[in-house]
Amino acid sequence: MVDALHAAHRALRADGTLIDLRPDSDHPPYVRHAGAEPGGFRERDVARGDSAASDRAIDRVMRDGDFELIRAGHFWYSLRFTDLAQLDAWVETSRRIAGYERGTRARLAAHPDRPITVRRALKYAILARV
Amino acid sequence: MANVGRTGCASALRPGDDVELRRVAVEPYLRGRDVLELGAGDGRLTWLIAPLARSVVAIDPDRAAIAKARRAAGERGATNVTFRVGPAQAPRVGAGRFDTALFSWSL
Repeated sequence: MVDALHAAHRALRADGTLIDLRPDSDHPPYVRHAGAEPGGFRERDVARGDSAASDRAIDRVMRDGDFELIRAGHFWYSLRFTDLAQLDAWVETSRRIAGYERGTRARLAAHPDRPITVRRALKYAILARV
Repeated sequence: MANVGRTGCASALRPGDDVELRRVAVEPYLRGRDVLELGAGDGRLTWLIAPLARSVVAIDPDRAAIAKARRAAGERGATNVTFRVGPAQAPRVGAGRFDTALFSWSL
């Protein structure tokens, strides 16, 4: 990850900008369903590990003086699933999501044909090349 | 509400519109700029960046995704976008060529 940031540093002009955009493991996704928030999801250990490693890589290149932070943060967006079967398919094949939090799927199964909204957070950082 | 955009497998469910670019307010860093996109996949964000940017070089290690993006580029008649297969660690793009480098879910 630091290697990729160094490569980006080389590719950028002197006044260039680096933008990092990725899922936010500090704010795991959760569900809205039938007017309630019945639970969320567990992220895979490897996904949390990769996210932490990316955070450390960003910190490292700033500490080394390659980049300076312009701004950073996170935001939420919504994904709509038509029903529980479609959400199950996502959970089963996701490389980031390990499964439902305890009790979440049972609560969703009370109304399996209703649309389900997943709220997901992305984090971003905008850095100035030094 | 973002539409669900399926890129690659279902694990890659991502917003289908420009929510990311809007919410991060990155347009000033893209408009009229030479942009390097790392982790472009099949070009989901590339097609949102291209109308703003002067040029886009979009790189991803997934050959199938890049092949799909190249086909789409031909269909769209995109003239300021180049797709390349490669890792973010070694993009082989030359030094000091870009105004903006975007890691798109790829760092």
